[in-house]
Amino acid sequence: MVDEAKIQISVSVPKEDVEDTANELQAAGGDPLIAPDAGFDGAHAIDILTILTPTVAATVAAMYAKRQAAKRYVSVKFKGVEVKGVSEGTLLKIIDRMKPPAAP
Amino acid sequence: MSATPQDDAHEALVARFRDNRLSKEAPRSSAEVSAAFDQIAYPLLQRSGVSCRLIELYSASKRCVSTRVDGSDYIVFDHALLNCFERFDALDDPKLPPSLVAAGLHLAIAEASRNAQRVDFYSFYLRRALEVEPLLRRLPGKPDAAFRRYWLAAFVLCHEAAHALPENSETKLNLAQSALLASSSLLDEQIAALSGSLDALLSDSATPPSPRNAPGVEMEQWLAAADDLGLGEDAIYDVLEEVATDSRFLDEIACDSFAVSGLELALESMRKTASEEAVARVAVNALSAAYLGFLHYRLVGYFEDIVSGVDDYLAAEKVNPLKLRLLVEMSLRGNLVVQRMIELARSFGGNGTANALRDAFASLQHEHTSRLFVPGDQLIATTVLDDRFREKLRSMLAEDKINLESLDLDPLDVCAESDLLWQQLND
Repeated sequence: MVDEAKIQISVSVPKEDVEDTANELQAAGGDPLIAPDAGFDGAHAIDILTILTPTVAATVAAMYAKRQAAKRYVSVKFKGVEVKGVSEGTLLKIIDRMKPPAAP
Repeated sequence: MSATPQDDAHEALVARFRDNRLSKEAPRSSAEVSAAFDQIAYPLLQRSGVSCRLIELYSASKRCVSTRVDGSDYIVFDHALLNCFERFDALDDPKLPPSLVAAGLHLAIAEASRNAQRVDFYSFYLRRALEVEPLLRRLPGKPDAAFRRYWLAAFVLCHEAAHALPENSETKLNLAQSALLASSSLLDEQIAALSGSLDALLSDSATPPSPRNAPGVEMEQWLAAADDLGLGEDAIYDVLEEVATDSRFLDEIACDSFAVSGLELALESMRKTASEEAVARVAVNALSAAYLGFLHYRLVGYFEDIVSGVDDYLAAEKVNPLKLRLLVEMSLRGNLVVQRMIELARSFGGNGTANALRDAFASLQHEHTSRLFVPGDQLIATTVLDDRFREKLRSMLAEDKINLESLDLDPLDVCAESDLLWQQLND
């Protein structure tokens, strides 16, 4: 199992942008893993799995805003569910929620 | 067996794939899937100089894919896909009341809703699926379930194996060329149908699907739907052209063709130890199992199309069949693969075997439509597309104090709760 301290999200972008996006996530320390979601059913999306850290959250939020402004497709998912209103704050909230409860 | 550094890396990779999906800790192991990989997909890929490993999951997304990580190729096989299809098989029984069949489709609609990011429908359908599960678990499976699982897994694994072929390899280039020809030929048939020769194509509607009339039967259904909805022939042609010339769709056709070659290789090897008649019989049953997979996937695709596009359909006050992209694609792919399979059957047992397979396909298609697709369609019409149902669903969610629109992260909360039910259902 993935280390619970390592929260993972996926960033979906079109095929032609996968390499650049993965490089950006790599630079932020997200250890990106390209995981195409196109399979037997012919569905079309390229997911990049990345470890979510505060640094990655900032990178993803900036990337998301930039792509939205440029009207380029982007989607961020947590365990397969799309995160609406992606921002650094939203992503940090995910990190916060996934933290194991503090010992009494 | 002691873990090697490579095994550790493999396990870490599996863990990341599982973590990304709603996946159970341990995939349901299946001897048939491993056997199909070892005996058919792996050797088939090796003939093209490619080596790959198998990653097994059990997740709500039910997606089998191929991927490349650090220069190594992997086929990700999701056991939930076979599980879903086996449930469909069990429901495909004329003795079952339609209400039970509809109840049996709830889990598939729940999973489609999750994939389409409709957590409201997901939450509802999952709860209903949990309620009827005890009843459904008592349904007897098909006596030849293991046989079906093996050949369907072989088909899916070989399809994914084709995605792993290098783009510039001779095999991949040949497959791409054949896919282009097949798609072009299919488009020609559709144009012929639209330009007035439809009557000739459909002159005998009782005739089972054949390389010639299978697309025609689809066209008949499309045109009937188009008439009802006031869609023009131009709109139908545009959609067909868009699909048939889409490079991704062509790649899928190429991979289907490679998958049929995989089955051919496996059947061919049986000739060494079995009689011609026995091999021909296995060929008909094996190819039928693979084709049934297409029909099942078409139903899953229909659910995903509907739930993902429901807001548009409600705004337009109609479901435009031309917008049901997954359904259209799976139907066209099914028609093309039928042609390859019938030719394969002919090579194993002559015209008699080809005719037997054609009859089997016709029967499967008819029964699948009447026993599964129609109840599924009615269920969708009375829930997802029904105003009163959606209103009721909103109040049910409100009672649970879940407001999907108040906070950005609420869908994740709904999913987290529903995901626990999903895990429970699949234990």
